[in-house]
Order: sequence, then structure tokens, then C-alpha cells
Amino acid sequence: MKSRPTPYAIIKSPGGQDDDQCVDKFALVLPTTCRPLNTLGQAEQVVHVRLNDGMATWMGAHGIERSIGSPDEPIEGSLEQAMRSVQGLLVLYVDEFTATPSDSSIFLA
Amino acid sequence: MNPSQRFASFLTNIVQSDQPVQIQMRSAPRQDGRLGRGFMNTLKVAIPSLLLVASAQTASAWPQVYLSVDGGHQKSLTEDMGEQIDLLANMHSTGMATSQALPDVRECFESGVTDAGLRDTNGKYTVLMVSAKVADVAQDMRDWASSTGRSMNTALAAFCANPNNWKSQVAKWDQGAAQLSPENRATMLAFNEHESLERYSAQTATQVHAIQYAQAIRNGEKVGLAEQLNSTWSAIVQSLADFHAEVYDNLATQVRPRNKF
Repeated sequence: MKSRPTPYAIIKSPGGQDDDQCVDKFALVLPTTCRPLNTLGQAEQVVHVRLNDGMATWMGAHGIERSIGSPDEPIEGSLEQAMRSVQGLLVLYVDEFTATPSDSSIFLA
Repeated sequence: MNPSQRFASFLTNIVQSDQPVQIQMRSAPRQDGRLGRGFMNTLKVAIPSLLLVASAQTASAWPQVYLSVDGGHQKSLTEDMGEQIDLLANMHSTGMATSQALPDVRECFESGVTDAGLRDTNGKYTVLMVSAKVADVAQDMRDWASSTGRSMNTALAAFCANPNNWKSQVAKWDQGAAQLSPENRATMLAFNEHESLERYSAQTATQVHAIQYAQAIRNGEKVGLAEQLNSTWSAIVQSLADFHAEVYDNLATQVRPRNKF
């Protein structure tokens, strides 16, 4: 089952104490409803993402396919690059009702 | 490193860099072409609150945070939350009680917020904060309610969803409900109002908890960021939620962005 594209945000780290050691220059922020869950109801630590036509797509909870970006509004190249890297892209899920962080994951393409 | 540890490291780098933090939001396209406000309102509360706690954990200054939506103008989120902090500190120092809130705001939240936790724990802060924020437009809301036959609660709920243009928010709700049958229309409008008031209350509670939590860390009552983040995020949220009102007394020191925090 597909859902419409998800709003998302990128937090950019202005630098870091030691750039060489700093893997995560930015993190993706998504609504909690987009997280894939494991059997304990926690977010999957590593989420496999498909990159195509400016979109990043993954399988969320309850078999609902989630995506960010669109052919008209493709996701930033830096996100794609991070997802294709060995370390992957850091993702934070935020509960839209309470505005509290709920989980985090790594997106890997 | 697992994701939580990486996020701890990421946050530490952010707050220790002593530079402004940029948040770039991309709204999902809507069929009606309008901007969905829910996620944006969430970010406005979630990220400054998170950074407030992280800066306290690492004994760093609270960084300035700017939000840009779809490449548009950058808006300072720390100024917004700084105003909230000032309001809370002022409420504390002047000993403001709920009875000093605008009566229509108090009645609105008493009838519109049914979650017992939101009403009992932080309800008074929400009511007082909204009273302070709507002071300048409250009469306009009353006049609107009187002339349209609508409820003051509708205006206040719309203000909570879109403080910059509450009338536009009412129109948006009306437009969405217009496609429904009359009985479903009323139900939908009531749901929108209720959801807006409860969401606003929940997010105010998050801000209050973050401020209290950060203040407690400053006072040496909490452990370090990395240690906290090694546990699950839900544990952190719980620890925020468990933080009791007695620490609120420490807010008398007036928490502000930069220099003082």
C-alpha cells in the first residue's frame, strides 16, 4: 500500500569538534508514523531504502510504503549521497502530536 | 555506533559548534496546494526543545535555530521558544495562577482538553501561555464569534493550529468539512478543534518538560547526554514526562537563549 509523499526536514550540523571524525553532517527528521517497526514495536535500526526518480522509498509499519521527494521535487543530493555511503543516513523520528523524539534509524540505499 | 549513539554524537557536535543550526523542511505536496502545518508546528517545538536539553547536558550554549520551509525565508525558532521561556519564568516569578488567565481561554481548554494528564500536569501553563499570546486578538475573536454565530473555542483552537492566521485556519477546516454530510460536518469540526487544543497542550508540556529538565541538569541533577541516549528515546521522553513541577521553582533564574543558557 502506498501513501502520499511525507514531509521531512534536514537538521544541518554547523561543524563539529573534529571534522575528520564527524560522520554525520546532517540528519533527516521524519514523523514517527513513517518508521518501520520490529517485533518489539521499536524502530528498525537499519532501514533499506530504494532511490528512484528523485524519491527515497521504504516500507513502513503495517506494510505501508513511505517515501520522500518526488520527480518534481527530488530529494537533496546530499541525502542520496549519505544513503549510498557505508555509514548511511541518520534519521530521527518525531511524534507529531507531542513533538518529542521517539526513535532513530539509519537509512541505507 | 547504533543510531542513538550516533544521534548523541550529532547533537553534541551541533551544540558545541557554537554556530546557528539550520533546519530545512520540505512540505509534502497537497492536493489543494496548501502547506500542511502539522509537521512544521511539530518541528518548531521538537528541535529547540531537544537542543535545549542537549546544550544543558554538554554544558554548552543553547544554539540559535533557524527553520526554512521549501527554501523560503528563515525563521528563528529560538526566539519563539525564548518567548515561551520568558512567559513561563514570568508566570513563576509573579506567582500567576490559572484564575488570572483569560476566562474564555480557561473555559476553552477546560472543556476542549479531555486528556487528564494534559489538564492536570501542565494545563495551567498552557492556559496562561495562550492567554498571554492571544491578549491582543482576543477581542477580535469575540467579535468574530458574535458576528458569525461560531464559538470562541473555534477561534482559539484555530489560533493554536495557526497563530499567524487563525481565520484562515477556520476557513481551511470549514472547506474540508464542507464536503461531508451535515452531521459528519459538525463531528469533523468538533474533532479538529479538540485535536488542535490537545496537540497544543501536549506540545506545551514538551516545552515545559524540556525547560525543567535542562534546568535540573544545570543544577547537576541529571547524567550526561551520551549515557541518556544509550537508552531508548522512549526512556528519554519518559524521563522528561516524569520530571516534576518542583524543579520548576528553579526557573526563577530566567532561562534565555545564549549567554544565560
